[in-house]
Amino acid sequence: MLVVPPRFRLTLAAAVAAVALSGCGATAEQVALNGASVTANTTRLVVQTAETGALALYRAEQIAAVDLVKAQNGTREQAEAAVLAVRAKWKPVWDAIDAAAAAHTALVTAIVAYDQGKQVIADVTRAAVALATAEQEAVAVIEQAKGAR
Amino acid sequence: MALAFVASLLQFLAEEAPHLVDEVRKLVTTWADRKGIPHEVLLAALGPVDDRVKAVDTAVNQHIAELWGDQTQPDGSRK
Repeated sequence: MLVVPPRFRLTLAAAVAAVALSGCGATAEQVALNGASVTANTTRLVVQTAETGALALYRAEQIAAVDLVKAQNGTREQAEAAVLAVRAKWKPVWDAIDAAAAAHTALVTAIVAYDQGKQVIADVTRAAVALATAEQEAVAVIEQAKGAR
Repeated sequence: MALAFVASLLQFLAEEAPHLVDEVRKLVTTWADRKGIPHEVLLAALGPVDDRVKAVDTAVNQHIAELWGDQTQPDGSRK
């Protein structure tokens, strides 16, 4: 199992640097592998925290929409339409989180395959970059959904 | 077994006390690391984000039903 203390959040730039280092021999490979492991661990926490916050907002927005319809003596159909609008707005968020989860799984798989000699370090670092990108996209989509409240 | 319990607990919290989910998930993640449970196994046990979204949607649907009453007829149609 990959357990690297999340001392810092690996940025996309750092992941790209890890890719650059990946062609520089055994020591550089170890640096790249460590970077990829940190990416896997820290991104997991970042996406997990963002997802939890997004779910809480998602629920709060729907409840507020329903309560507003009720306060205005609206119908059940109006309340259902209101929550459907909220759900449609948040759909891209769940897609982005799913994509980040898939990228995380791909990175973990790549690291295990590298350990078993089935993949080269360049594959691992590419997966790390993909995960860092997916994480940034997920966080950006969540911020966009929050801003559209 | 313990993972199934944790998954059920998180599902319950997502519906009944979403403000607690973040802290409990952190605890679960730390616990899984300590127990040597691979992250992919933990994720599989907790289910995809879709499951958690559906849990929220179900709670909201219940809220609507509570406010307007269940209008479902015996034949499944609505008033």
